[in-house]
Amino acid sequence: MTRFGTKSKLVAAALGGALALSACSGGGSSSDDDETQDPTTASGPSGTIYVANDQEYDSYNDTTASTNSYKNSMVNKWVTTGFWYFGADGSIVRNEEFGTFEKVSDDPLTVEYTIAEEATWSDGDPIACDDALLWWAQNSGNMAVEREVDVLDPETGEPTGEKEVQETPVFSVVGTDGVEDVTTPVCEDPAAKTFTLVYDKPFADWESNGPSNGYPMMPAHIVAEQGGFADSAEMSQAILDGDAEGLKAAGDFFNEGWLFQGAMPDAALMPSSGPFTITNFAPGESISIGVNEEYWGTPPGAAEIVFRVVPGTEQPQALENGDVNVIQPQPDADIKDQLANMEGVTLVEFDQFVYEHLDLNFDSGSLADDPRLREAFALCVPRQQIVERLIQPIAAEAQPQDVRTISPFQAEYAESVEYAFPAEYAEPDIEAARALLEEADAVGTVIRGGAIADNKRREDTWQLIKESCDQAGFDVQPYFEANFFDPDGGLSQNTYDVALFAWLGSPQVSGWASTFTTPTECSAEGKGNNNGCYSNPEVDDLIAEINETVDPAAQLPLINEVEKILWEDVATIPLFAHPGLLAFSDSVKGVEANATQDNFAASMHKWTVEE
Amino acid sequence: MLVFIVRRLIVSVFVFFSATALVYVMAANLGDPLADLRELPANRRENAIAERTERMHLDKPVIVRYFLWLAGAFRWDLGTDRDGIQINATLEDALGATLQLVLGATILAIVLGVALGVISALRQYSSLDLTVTFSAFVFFSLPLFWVGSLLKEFAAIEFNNWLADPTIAWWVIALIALLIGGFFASLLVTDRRTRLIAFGGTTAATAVALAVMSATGWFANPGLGIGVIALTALAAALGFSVLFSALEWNPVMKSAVITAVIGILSSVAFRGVLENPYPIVVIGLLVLALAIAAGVGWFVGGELFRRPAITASLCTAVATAMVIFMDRLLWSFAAYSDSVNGRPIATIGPSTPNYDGTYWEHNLDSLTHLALPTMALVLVSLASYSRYSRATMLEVMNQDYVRTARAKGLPERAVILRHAFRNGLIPITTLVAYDIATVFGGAVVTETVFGWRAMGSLLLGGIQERDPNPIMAFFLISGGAVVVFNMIADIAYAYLDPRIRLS
Repeated sequence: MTRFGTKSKLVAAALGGALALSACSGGGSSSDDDETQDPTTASGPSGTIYVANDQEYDSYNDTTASTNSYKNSMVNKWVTTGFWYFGADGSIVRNEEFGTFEKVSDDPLTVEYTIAEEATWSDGDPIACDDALLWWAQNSGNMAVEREVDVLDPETGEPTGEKEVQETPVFSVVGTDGVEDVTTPVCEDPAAKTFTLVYDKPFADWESNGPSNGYPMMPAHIVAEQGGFADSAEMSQAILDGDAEGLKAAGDFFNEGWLFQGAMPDAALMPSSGPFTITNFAPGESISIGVNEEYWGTPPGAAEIVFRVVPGTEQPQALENGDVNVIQPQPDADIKDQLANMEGVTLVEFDQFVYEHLDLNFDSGSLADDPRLREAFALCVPRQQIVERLIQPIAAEAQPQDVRTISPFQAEYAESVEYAFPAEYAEPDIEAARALLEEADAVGTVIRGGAIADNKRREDTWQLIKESCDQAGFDVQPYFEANFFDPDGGLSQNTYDVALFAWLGSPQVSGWASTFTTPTECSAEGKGNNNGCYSNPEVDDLIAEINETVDPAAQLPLINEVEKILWEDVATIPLFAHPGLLAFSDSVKGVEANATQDNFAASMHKWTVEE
Repeated sequence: MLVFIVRRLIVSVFVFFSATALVYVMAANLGDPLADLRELPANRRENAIAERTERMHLDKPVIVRYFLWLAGAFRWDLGTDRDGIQINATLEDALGATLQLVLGATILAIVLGVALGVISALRQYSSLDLTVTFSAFVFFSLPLFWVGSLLKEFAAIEFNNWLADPTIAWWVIALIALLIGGFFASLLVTDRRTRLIAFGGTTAATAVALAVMSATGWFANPGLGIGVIALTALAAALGFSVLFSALEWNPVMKSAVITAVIGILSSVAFRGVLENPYPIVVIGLLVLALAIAAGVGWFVGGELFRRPAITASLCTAVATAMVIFMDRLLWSFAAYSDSVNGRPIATIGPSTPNYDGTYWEHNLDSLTHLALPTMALVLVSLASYSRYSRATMLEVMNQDYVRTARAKGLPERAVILRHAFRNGLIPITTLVAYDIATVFGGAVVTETVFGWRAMGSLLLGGIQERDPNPIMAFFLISGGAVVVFNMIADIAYAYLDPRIRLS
């Protein structure tokens, strides 16, 4: 197929219908040249699977701060691969085809990574230590460079022609957790196939810290070439020397050079290190990945996966009409009914790694001073009823989530609930709550319940809490702000007594540690994720200990202890895990729901399609 | 006139500049552009916020950001969006998609709307007029997103399901036949007997045709064949020669019929060429057909009938070419349908991704993707054109000069086409110019419902992400188009209506 440039398309469109239709023409290619494989004889990958993506893909490098979003990572998941990825329940699945890793020492914590001997980028360059060095230089975040920006006249705002310098990281990075403590270079010889991460202090999440399908190693040889180096060995040396200034051009390319500026960058700049490779991009329409012929491991099931831009609300009908084969729509009771009634469509309900909860304000407000009031509130919140009324229409099996840091679908959940969850909070006990309030002489205490505006489910949740807690003697006053999460909004300014919102769950300790650790200062800037400024030295100590516990099995008792204290203090009240919906055509096999942000993309390499 | 244009331009430029400042300030104050990042986990939040702050100059006051943008806009560098994607490239794609999506629909709506309006004005208070009025108002009041969803359900999903076994139930055939018969009968203004005959004839013919199509599975594997091409071409020749001359065997009709016959013959002769042509070949053939038609008109028309003969021939040639084109498209339908798993009508996007097929299959691919959004847009915007043209037409028909024209014995056809219709069109130019201008603004709802990324989604995305640059790019184009086309409308008005003076 001939693809005409955008300009010619524009002109053609302007000339009118007949021409617009011929803008994308198959002229010349005769219909009898049969390129498609015959499914009966071919044993390799076959067929095309269409996936709905409600935003448009825009970068081959999704490891930078501004490109790290699901619209990119779902496509790149099996294009640039690494040593591990998240399994369906958030567990760490090792990708042994890419390479292996093991902990070789506890003190200092040392993890050795071995890249598969035959692993090469699809352009033939071996995947080796040079790529690991680039990954380390990026993720340790210890290299900054001064970049020039325009100086503006403060009066008129026009650029004055002068430039000023600002300090920015050489390689843009999402977060430096863990790797920032790896101060010795991961390897010396750019061609070596092994490298080691030596941590300065123990790090609990070491297993999910190396290059992964989510945060892969990017091709160093391409960055070196674009950054003005003779070869990647020279760039590796610059990284080892800490020559931030010399790496500036390479950093500029790394941060912006792989952006899709209305068209696909040169395919030679985007080699693959996984079973798929990027094959085609149509602005505003789709991005396609096809089989990477050079891949050394198991070939994928499908010959091509096409991600089409489809707005979320339009995805169910597009699935029904076969325009797309896989969708993950907004969890909504109407959409669920619509999907459940479609023929030829499989609907999967699952729990996501996101949980709704109530954050209590420990800093100011009506519940801050008296633990009895917080207990009384926890006793009157109708958790079971909220789930029955608001969540079960979407996920029939849903139950309240009883602990915060472990999700219901994780293996450790039952044990943690058994240990930490106080049975009296399972059902609301209005009598007991009232007794506590009367004891504290606080009947009629006003609770300002905050949440983001225009969210029906949160409005309903507050209504149910109000109905129940008003009986116990509270005066619940829900309010909804459009800027609730903004720096001038209720959550940051602590104008609430109880806030209702969701946290992204995480199988990693470092993902939630700061949420329950005493903040340095209880201000909008200083409190971080600990919005209510909850503080308990015992919890602080336990979290610090967990953070340095490198044996996953040893972490669980500590986590359970934290949960128990959080319940005793009623630091937060978890309500339920967000339900997710996944739907796909019956002709597509191997699609798995996944609780983490990887979503269904984690299983993409195993998908097959019947033709 | 020149003074008027220059003065108008200068005023427009000032208005436009102050508008950009106003829109920019409003866009910059939509809300917190970092809102989505603030919900990120703490370990990822800081870097993302720092990067976006630098990219969007959020550390500088709004007025500074506006002048930064303006300085760039003068060099036609519209900056980047919050993720660093250059707006120039985005805008180019969005504008191309918008023209594809909206231009055809707007032209179709204008032609159909004006035609319906004129017909219903000529048959004022007839059942046809009442039906057109009623349905125009019904469609006008429907929300687009709902029309879109209904069309997807019935014109795409159900239709595609039905295509697997395309037979029509007898009562559906009866219903369609009665509707078509009724429509044609109500077009005629004659005595009851003739109308009854017309009604019966059309109904019977439609019913038989549908029954045969249903029985032979025509809908799954359609085509017209040489017979239908010939009939249509000759009918077109007859119609156009009546329209431009009279119902008699004069040089006009002769040249139109000769053109039609040449067209029919060439449809057979060029069959091989049309198997899978390059687009340029198709355009070349159309140009060739027009040249031949003009030549035939020139020679056969002679001194006296040259102009109407050439016009009638050209129109006949275009009609014949369209039928042949249609025939070729339909022949390819079965193969196309097969290549998209038997579900030809699409609900989203402008094309099947990475589609590989012949020229005809590519055209079908575009058409089947355009079908639903075009239908939705036309249905909803039909009303304004048909109501407006009906009103102006009625007003003109009651003017004294129309009565004079009738009184001096002109045939009704000439009265309507020459004297009434042309003058009736003048007020519509304003409406059309303004609507063409709004084409550049895209169709926000239609784009969302049918999954297109065009001008509307550029604006919507900018608003949702509180990102001023896409909003400004949208405003530059759509606002600029409104200014320019308003001026064109004023000038065209003065040119068409001699009673209006601009200076």
